[in-house]
Amino acid sequence: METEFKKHSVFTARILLGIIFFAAGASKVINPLLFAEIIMNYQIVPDYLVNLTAFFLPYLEITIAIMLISGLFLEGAVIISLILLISFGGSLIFNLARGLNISCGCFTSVAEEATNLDYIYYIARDIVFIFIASYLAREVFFTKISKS
Amino acid sequence: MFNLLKKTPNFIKDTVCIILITLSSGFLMYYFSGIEFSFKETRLSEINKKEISFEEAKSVFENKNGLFIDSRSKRFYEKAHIDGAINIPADNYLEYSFDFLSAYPDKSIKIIVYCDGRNCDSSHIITEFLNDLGYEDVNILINGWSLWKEDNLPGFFTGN
Repeated sequence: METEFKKHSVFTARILLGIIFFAAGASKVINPLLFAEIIMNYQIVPDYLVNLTAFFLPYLEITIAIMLISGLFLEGAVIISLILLISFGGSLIFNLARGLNISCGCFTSVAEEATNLDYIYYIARDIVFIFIASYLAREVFFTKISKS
Repeated sequence: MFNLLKKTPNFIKDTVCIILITLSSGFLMYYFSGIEFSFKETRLSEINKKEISFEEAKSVFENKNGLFIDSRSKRFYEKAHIDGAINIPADNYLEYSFDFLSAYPDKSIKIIVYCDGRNCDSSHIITEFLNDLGYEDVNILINGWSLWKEDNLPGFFTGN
């Protein structure tokens, strides 16, 4: 009974995280140049890596989304999603601390102004995502519950 | 070799596969979509622009260790501007090259360029112009004039 429940909750977490990553990747894959501008504004990635990151990050997000939903290469997908979410959260906190009101670029490639309150919302949202990914990692790696 | 592959933990194999899928799908899309995108150049490297936060700009102003440049048109500059800022309007900046170079021969001087509004790109034009003149430390204060007014920092007003 408990295992059934766990299976269902893992499945829900996978689908949820998959949709999140798909939405994030699909919104940016269309216009990598605009997304490059957002990454550039963060002033974290070295200059020569800005365009490479802007081009491949959306594809990575979409690939992870597909893997999470399908259950293929699940262990890798969970690890990468956790690493990505933690680094996104770290960048947001870093920006908030520096007082740069630049666009989050989380689900869009349009550079818009963001207030401190917006940043707190983005960080809170990222923490929720990290929580889901951590739960998934625990179940996948320690309880070994995986596909379907 | 086969043994080594067997011993490798699953999550590493999965991660490598995902990265390979990502790279190949990206390159395929790049190749077939005909998208105009350079992997090397960024607008940042093109014009060496640097965004400066409002707090940093404020401290430069307070410590008087930088030059503020108002890139708005002369009309707006004459109405009001940051105290001590000089005007190089983006619409006819070339006129100012000689005077600016002779007034500020030190190319390592910290310069902060501002205009008004998030989408105003005249400060980027002036940054590019100053970089071309050889100035190394040119920074952009995005939405500078609005932020300055909101914070009630010293400015010059004509009262019109």
